[in-house]
Amino acid sequence: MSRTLVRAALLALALVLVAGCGGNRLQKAGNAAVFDLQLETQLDWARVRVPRQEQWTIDGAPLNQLMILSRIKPREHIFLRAKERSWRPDGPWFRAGMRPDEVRDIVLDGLRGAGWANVEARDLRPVRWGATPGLRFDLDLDNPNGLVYRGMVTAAERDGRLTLLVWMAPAEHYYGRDAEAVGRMFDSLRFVD
Amino acid sequence: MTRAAWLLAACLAAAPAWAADPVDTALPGQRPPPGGDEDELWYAMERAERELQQHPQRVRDPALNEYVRGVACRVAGDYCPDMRVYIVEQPWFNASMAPNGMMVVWTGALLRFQDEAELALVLGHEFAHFRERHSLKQWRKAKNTSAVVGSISLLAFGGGAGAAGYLANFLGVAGMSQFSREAEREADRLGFAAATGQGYDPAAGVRLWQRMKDEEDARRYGKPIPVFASHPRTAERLDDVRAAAQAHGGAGDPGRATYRAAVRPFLDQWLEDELSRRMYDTSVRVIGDLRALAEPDLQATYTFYLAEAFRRRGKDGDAVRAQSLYDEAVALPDPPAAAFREQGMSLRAQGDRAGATAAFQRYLAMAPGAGDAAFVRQYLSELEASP
Repeated sequence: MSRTLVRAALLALALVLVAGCGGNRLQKAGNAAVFDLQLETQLDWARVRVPRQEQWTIDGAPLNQLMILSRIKPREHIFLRAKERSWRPDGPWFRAGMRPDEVRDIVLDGLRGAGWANVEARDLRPVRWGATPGLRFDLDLDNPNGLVYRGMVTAAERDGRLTLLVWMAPAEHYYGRDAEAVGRMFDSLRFVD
Repeated sequence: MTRAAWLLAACLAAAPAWAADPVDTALPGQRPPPGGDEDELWYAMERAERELQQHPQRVRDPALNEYVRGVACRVAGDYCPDMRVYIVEQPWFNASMAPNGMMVVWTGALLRFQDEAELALVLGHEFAHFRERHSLKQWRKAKNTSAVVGSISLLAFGGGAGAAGYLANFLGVAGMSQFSREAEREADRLGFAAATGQGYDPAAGVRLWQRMKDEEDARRYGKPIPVFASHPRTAERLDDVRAAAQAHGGAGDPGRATYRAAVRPFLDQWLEDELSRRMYDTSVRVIGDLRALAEPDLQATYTFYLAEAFRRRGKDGDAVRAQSLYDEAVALPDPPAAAFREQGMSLRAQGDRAGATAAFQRYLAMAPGAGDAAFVRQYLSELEASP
């Protein structure tokens, strides 16, 4: 077999494996399980899953996106993009036992690093995911083209790992349309054993 | 690469005949003749400028823009109407000049300048690129030696209307250093003459480049500070500016009070931006330099942010250094409210309930609408409830 054919076969195999890792499905309103979480949604979503994270959307990611990142380990990037390296010790890496404002700051810096502009947080506050203490705050930010977005973030640490949910939508129409329902969905979050 | 850059690449890749034309110093009000390669450069840059005008990180504060533009006009003289100055919220030291007169200054540079003479020197340097049409010279030279598309980043000297988003690609710095050293040294000379000709302190460059060298020396990882990617070696540059200042022999106005007044309303935001770079070794150096030279009314602010840089870096001994600086900050005139929050966090960790409670209460009294007030109230409740 020629090298070209071998490469083509390996590429095809890789695509099959990658496709097998992910998965798209509809999430109807009601109870939902995601990783080790349980929640209740009043909205219908499309769910896209990759290892340790899901992206949920209603109208398409540019119009509303909910990122759910599960069990972020110490020294991992807050959005699971990389692991800490000795040559880059100051990045937005999660550490067990971080203060709530430190978790907020690595989320904000992670968003800035992803190209979002004018990223600001409001009203950092304590919440509970059932018996687990967590945090929540509101977001104001612009995409690189200047479109104004708003959002909500909630996170909780359990067993030294962080679970994070980030919801963002354009401030015009989409945020206001769904903010209340997303807020209630965040209120319903629980870890399942 | 932006659409404008691709368009420009397509236009200029078609083997123009202007490559051998001499490039003279621009005259005030001069525009390129239609149909030439310089006209195409301007066309592409005007498109980029329209994008920059809408960019979310453009700083639009009228007073700050008017002030910086005023300094640019002082050093540019008759060329003032040919230039537009844009301030972009980016926490690195950088400024750039496009061939069509679009001058860009990053807020990281404005944070680092200590006085108006340093600002004038840098703006004079950028103006010299414009007057001497360095971008056109560089473009024609690059076309003969490198791939056209890969050379698009040469179009704007200094590199960077916006590191955020695709403007960074358009005004990037890749490949600059091998072409531009001569032009940069010429711009240094002309910028110095323009600034000192307006009565600014001739020693400003020595102070500025020494601090920039110190900052670069403190960097342990990451990309070089943008300005170092394309400019002469800092030691060489320091020698040049020192020799120029000695040759000048005179004194000048640093314009420190005017500069500090103009930037004062933005310092807290720019210091937060500085920390958000997450390059704490250099932030310790930058903020330490600012603190060392700060007037008494700003000592508490810089002391607090220096403490924040240590706390966030978190290396051995940093927590102790941070705590000592927080303690110092709260004892200075006009301390930031957040210094009391950090003092409270420390005292709470040490088990000093009364001290922590007092510090948190002071924080909430000074900043009742603080973004983290709900957590601080929770800490207070826990302190009250604990035995």
